[in-house]
Amino acid sequence: MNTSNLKLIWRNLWKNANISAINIIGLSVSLAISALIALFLNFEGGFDKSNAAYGDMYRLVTTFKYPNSPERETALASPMMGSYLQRESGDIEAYLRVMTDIENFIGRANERETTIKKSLQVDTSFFTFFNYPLLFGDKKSVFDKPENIVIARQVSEALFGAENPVGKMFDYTFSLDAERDTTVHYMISGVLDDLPKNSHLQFDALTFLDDRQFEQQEMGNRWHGVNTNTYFRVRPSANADGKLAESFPKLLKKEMPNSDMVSLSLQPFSDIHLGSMALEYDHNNFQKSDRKYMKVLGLVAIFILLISSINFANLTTVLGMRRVQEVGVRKSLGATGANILGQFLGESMLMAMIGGGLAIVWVELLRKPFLSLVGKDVDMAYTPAMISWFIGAVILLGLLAGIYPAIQAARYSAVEAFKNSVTSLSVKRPFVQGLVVLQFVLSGMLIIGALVSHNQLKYMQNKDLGFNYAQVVEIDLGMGNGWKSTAIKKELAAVPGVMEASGSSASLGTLDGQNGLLVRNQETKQFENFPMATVRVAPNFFRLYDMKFVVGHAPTEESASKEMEFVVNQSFLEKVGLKGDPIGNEIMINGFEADKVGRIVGVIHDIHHNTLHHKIEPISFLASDFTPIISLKVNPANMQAVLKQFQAVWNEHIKDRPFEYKFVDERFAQLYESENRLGQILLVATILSILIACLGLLALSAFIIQQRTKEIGIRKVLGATTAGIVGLLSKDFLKLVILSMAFASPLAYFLMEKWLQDFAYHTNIAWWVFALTVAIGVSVAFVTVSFQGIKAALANPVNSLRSE
Amino acid sequence: MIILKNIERYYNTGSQKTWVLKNINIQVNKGDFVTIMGPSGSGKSTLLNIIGMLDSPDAGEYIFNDEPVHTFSEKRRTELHKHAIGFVFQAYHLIDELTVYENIEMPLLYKGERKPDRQSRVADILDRFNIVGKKDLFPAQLSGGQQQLVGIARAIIGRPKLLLADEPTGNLHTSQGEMTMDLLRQLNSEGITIIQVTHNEKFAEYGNRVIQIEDGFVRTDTNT
Repeated sequence: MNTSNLKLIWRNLWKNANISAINIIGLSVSLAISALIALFLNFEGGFDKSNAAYGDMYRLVTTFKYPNSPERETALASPMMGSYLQRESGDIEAYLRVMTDIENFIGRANERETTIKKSLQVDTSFFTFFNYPLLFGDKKSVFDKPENIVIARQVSEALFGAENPVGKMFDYTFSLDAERDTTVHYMISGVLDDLPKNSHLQFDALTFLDDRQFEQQEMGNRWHGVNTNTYFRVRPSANADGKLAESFPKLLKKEMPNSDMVSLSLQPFSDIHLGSMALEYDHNNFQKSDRKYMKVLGLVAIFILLISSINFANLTTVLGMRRVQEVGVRKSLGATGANILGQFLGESMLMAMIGGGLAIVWVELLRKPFLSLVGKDVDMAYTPAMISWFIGAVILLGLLAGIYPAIQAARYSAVEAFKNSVTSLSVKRPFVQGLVVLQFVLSGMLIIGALVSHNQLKYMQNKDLGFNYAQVVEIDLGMGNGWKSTAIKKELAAVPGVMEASGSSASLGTLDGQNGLLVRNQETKQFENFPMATVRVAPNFFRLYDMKFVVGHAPTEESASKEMEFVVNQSFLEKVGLKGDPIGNEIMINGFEADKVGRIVGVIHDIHHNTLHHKIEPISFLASDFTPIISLKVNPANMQAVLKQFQAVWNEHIKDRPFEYKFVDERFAQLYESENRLGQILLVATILSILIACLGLLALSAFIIQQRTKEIGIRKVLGATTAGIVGLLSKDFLKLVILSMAFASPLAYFLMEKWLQDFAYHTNIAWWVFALTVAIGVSVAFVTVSFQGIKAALANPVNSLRSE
Repeated sequence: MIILKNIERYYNTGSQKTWVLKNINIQVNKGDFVTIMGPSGSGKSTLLNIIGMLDSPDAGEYIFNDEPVHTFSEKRRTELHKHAIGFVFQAYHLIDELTVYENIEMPLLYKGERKPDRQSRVADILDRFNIVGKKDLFPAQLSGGQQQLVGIARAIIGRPKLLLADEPTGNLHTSQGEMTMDLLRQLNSEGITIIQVTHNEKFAEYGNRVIQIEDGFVRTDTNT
């Protein structure tokens, strides 16, 4: 390319400033959106890869296969497994166990205090297993003494500023029982530098994992109870074939009772962030994501990029066709086909590069809104690989968009070019048609996707869960304060505006975990074991949440402290096979006060006690005084004053945690946050894609209508109406759009049907979704095209005929 | 210089051939100023395009400077026409986005001439045609006559041996047309062979020979 060509390209861009601007802006915005998504996916996909040995690192996943219970996969393993398997296997170089210690507590030191969101107990091998740097302290000796604690940098800065805190005391005060508090004194032995944001382990403090805490359990429970995340580093490539875990059952059989009821598998370390959605007890997996969600995002990026590439190709073709005559002149002056090819490709490349440059500006501008849309704080750094991908994509785009018009133009002989000086580009050209259809197929699919996901979200938010959580405030005292709950609840209930106060050991909507429940069989009179969730609740819990009883009643107030009164749901009866009168049927909790026998006093209708992703499972509620999560039904008037009083009560009793409250309806909405975000992203992507597609259509129709000026003039002279002409001009485009929607509907139906299968309870895809999609597509396309068409139809035919 | 033997050009309509040119035999000598005349649709422009190697005949022989052009490959033909032939068009066909200077320079770019050479040659022509002051203007800023002047400057900048002009005065007022024809005559006197197509009897007289074409045949071929 020589300077004259560059200048010419530049002037050409100016001459067709409207189309050029549409072209470049559309391209740059979608390049930017795709780049943002790529940066985000790069971050999400790069989790835990900052560990050099991540390829040989695994997390032990335990799958329970107990009778009377569905198979359950958990992120935890028995604390016995690490050392046992390392000793027996020979392929395991090192193991590390991590256990949640305390969450959300107030730590005090240096006469200041700060909230520790998460502290973990870890094996002393932590600093040899991971390569995390210490700002202060010595890696070899940080866990020399059991009272040592390693704190994170921001904790150290909050308490000590820039000072070295090693050797200083760090105190934690908590309630021992309903009356007494106690204080634990830790000694700070190290300060950990910030972990990479893309590490699945995030914490504020580390203490030493003492095995003595498990020793009081009897042997069977020690093997079967899962407490710790257990990580392995295996001999290089020892698990390259993924079959290392197949050797475990034989090893376990030697010492573990009932070892066939659990199966162990190795989850690749770098898979933990995106591949753990099915795992229970995965609380140490910071902001884990769903790989499916990432795939949808990737698909959205590809769709947007495709739509705008098509636009780009179409508009470049239009611009190229305008200049057929120029091609003729050039050829008559001695230009070869290669010259013309180079010129046209050069132009589209330049255009793509301008778009690419502008995209970088957009990326920087849109970074923040994008992050708030995906709802995460991530490091979206440009890596060399990303930059070369980006440049490659821009060049490829320029080439692909320019190649068709370039070849067409190069192929024309000078004579043909002159003859075609009034170019005959029509929508009927199969290439242009194909591209327009593809563009609207993609847009149509996005519209359908957005509508279906919106419907599903609405469905989940509006579905009758079987209980009423309006105006309920939830206050979590923390497990450690469970024994204080009855006293605190009483004081909270006395706050004016509180209509009812109750409590539970776990929150509705997030009930996971299970324990063995021994239920007496009505025929054999034997106790049978059924693993399922048991939630401790105050007796008025059912009244507060307005749950309906099938038979029986709520537990009595006195029973909470004395007897074991159970309320179960209908699924429980089915699962356990209680066919006769369930009231009075005896239940014991396996391993917990094993001598105590309780009774069923009531059966409630099935409620959705977990998210609508899950089927309703059998559940039992046990009346108890140990209810650290307090639910308060509150009169919405004067909410601020009421909350202030709650805080006052809290401050009086709770020393180890900062005051926090949640509105249960907001908490429930948050359970569907990822669906909500997905819906928003799809909505933005859909609007953007329609906008881009329409910009392209606008430019394309303007060009085509311009070519038909004479025809329109003649028709008007012959008596055609304005409406008739607009119809005539729009018809070709509308046909294409309708055809596109016909393609898009089954494709989108298939994809969205698959997506809906993830929800145990989901809407069906209604026929009107497709009708609405067609209506949106057609009306938007019609408005776009007739915008140009009306202008042409209203023009005075005398002018249009003269201009020829 | 040019020998056309039994040149034919036709297109197929259904099973029949429609002749645009049939049995054309013309010889043009170096230094000739030939005018081709004829009603519209008679095949004048097609003939000019064939002579200019923009189009090829369906049958017949075309000898240019003793070289059998009809046997040449596309590439060789392009090479020949690039160096030997210049074109002047009725509608000027200047490139709107290029200045006068850049329009005139373009053939030299395609010939691959070096920048200093291009600069001096374009400067010479601008000077000779008295349009130095207009070199940075765009075609739209010029009158028709001035545009055609640029068109001719562009056509001869490559020092062609043959200049083909397809109704060079067709879009011009009489006075501007006369100016253009004067210029062509002057170029002819300097040794460039010219073949022009025109409807204008008066402008036909500028040449030394008139060929009348009708329905694809040469009807008359007279020296004036």
